[in-house]
Amino acid sequence: MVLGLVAAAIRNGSGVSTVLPLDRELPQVGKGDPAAILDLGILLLFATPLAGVVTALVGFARERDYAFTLVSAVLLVLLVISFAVALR
Amino acid sequence: MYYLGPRRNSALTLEHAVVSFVIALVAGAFGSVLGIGGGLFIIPSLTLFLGVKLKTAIAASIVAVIATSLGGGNVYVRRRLADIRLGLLLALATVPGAVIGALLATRAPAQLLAGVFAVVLGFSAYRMLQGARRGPPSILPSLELGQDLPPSRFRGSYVEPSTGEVVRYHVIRAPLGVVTSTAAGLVSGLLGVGGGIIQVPVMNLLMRVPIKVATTTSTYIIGITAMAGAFVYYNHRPSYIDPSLAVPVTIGVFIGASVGSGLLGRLSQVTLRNAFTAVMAVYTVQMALRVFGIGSG
Repeated sequence: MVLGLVAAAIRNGSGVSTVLPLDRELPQVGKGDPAAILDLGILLLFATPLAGVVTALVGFARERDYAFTLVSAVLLVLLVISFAVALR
Repeated sequence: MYYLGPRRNSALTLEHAVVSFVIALVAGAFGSVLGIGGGLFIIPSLTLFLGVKLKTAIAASIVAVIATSLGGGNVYVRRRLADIRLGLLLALATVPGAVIGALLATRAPAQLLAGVFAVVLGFSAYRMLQGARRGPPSILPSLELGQDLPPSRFRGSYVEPSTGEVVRYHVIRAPLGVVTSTAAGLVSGLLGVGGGIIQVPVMNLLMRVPIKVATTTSTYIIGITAMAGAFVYYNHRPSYIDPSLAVPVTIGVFIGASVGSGLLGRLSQVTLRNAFTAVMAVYTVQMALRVFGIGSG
């Protein structure tokens, strides 16, 4: 979850002031493309709660709390499905 | 992933980015003090002052909500206040709710969305007003746990920051709480807000979770919920997420939430609440007007 701050910092370093009227581009387009860096930052932001859930899952597994290891796992699956559903 | 066209779908200029940043700062500051995400303030502000299209504003807001959760949630979990188990459990319901809400939002006409927004906004303002009158939220006696409570396998404890004592609590009606949380997720995905406005009462009043645990856990859940909703806005073709808008707003809310309590600390909670409620009341009216086509579409 500390990744959250990192993600924010990454976005900060995008050399903003981008006046480009773009919505988004594939991040690949972006070696040094500020718009793409912004996109990447947003994607990283998305990834952070995901990482948080994974961390929780690992923590529960370590504590042998199988009930919540399961809960975390199911949640992860749900989130992946959510992303896939959204792609339709 | 495509250029959405010239109709004010993005914060086209630097000035707009700055304005949205400031809006977000204010929202973040107020939100962190009042215990909400700030989306209810951000979205109407963006649409009314910058003429941003409603769905684009919603998308930007929901991205920002993720950030507020990360800022607040992190600190709270560290202080062992938020109940991660409970949070994850409720997230099982909020996530599908958010996805459904977001899908509905992308397909619904903006005017209808504005109407729903006005209703939620008005309702929230009303509840805040009630809260302001009654004074600080009553902390349910966590000491009421014990023999009286129905046996619950869901137990938790936290360290009360002001006294340092360990407080134990039981969570009851968990299944019902989970189901109800779907509504919180729905609102989040549909309107681009955090959903805490539903989530906290569900935890605190329905499931007997102490208020401090409820609010902090809600902050934790919100990040996951908003992320799921954001997936939908992100993947839509063409995507509703505009980085030139989403980024300033996100950073603004994050900073606002982080320093908010410091900045606003001198003002009483009641004053802040009243100010915020007044703003929300105005926004409610303006949003409602949009349903009838008055104001930018």
